Amino acid sequence: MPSRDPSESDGALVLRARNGDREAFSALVIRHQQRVWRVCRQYVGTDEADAAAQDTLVKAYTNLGSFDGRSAFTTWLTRIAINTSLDELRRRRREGLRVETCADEEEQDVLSEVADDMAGPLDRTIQRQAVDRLAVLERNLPERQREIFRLRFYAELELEEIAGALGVHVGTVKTQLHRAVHRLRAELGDAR
Amino acid sequence: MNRHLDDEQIAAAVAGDERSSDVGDHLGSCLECRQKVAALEELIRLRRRTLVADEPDWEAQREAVLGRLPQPQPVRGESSKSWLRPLMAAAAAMIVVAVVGLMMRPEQTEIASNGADIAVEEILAEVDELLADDSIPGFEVIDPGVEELEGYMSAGTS
Repeated sequence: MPSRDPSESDGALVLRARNGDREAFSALVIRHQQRVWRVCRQYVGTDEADAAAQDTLVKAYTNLGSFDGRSAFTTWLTRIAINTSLDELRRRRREGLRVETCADEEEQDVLSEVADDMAGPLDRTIQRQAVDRLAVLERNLPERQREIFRLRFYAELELEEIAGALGVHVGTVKTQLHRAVHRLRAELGDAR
Repeated sequence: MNRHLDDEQIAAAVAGDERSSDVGDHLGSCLECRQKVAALEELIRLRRRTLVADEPDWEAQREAVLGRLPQPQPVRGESSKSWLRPLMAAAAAMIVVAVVGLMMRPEQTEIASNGADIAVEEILAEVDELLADDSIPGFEVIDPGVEELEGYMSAGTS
């Protein structure tokens, strides 16, 4: 069984994993796999997110020796997830495959699968329309704004983590996120 | 702050940017502005929930990842050389010490030297005897002499 000691830091687990302790790495996977998958999903879409997340975690294991601890392990791992996802997108474009991103999947009625006992049929219809509208508008954001918006709200990364993973100043992240929210809110109009 | 928050301030609040104490105080007391912030936050939360519905089986993913990890490799190449190097150096040092130690032992050296001298003299004496005995095949005088060589040369030109 993998180590499930929640008090053991990422750094301690990394040290053990570097020395070949697979249980320690398994504990790191349990701790971070959801975040990795959510990051990958923002870039490659649901169908490829699992494969990209697995590739990310295997790459992380084989490159643990290069983790110098200057950034948080989560930041380092997120950077690998982003690079792995972008590599996958480039490969698919190079091979002429369709690049399906997160936003392309919004044609399906995903909100109908969301249980919300508090909403009546009318409310749910309005909610569904609003969420669909958000998805469309989000797709039209400038690339960097869209990327940061998704990493912040869907992958649930902190602003500092996004800055570290993208290699930009945290002020840039704040500015881009602010512009994205402002633009979406303005364009959502009646949906808010 | 009595007037309502403007769009920039609402957006900043949703984005989680630092709110000034005035904005925070206003949100705490103004239901209308608080609803504006909460409406967009709720919409984003709903969209996130639709995405969560697609999440994979985490245990299966973890097993798949662990199954793909490279196996520990047996030590080879440069690392094995570095591991053997001190052992080889120690062995070489021991050999040198042993040889030097043998060479520095005067009694044994003298005995060996005497023994070697005796053996060489005996061998040389036997060789002299053999060389002196013309009856033994292989030890004949083979110098053909100048006359005989001249004979060969004249026969070759004729």
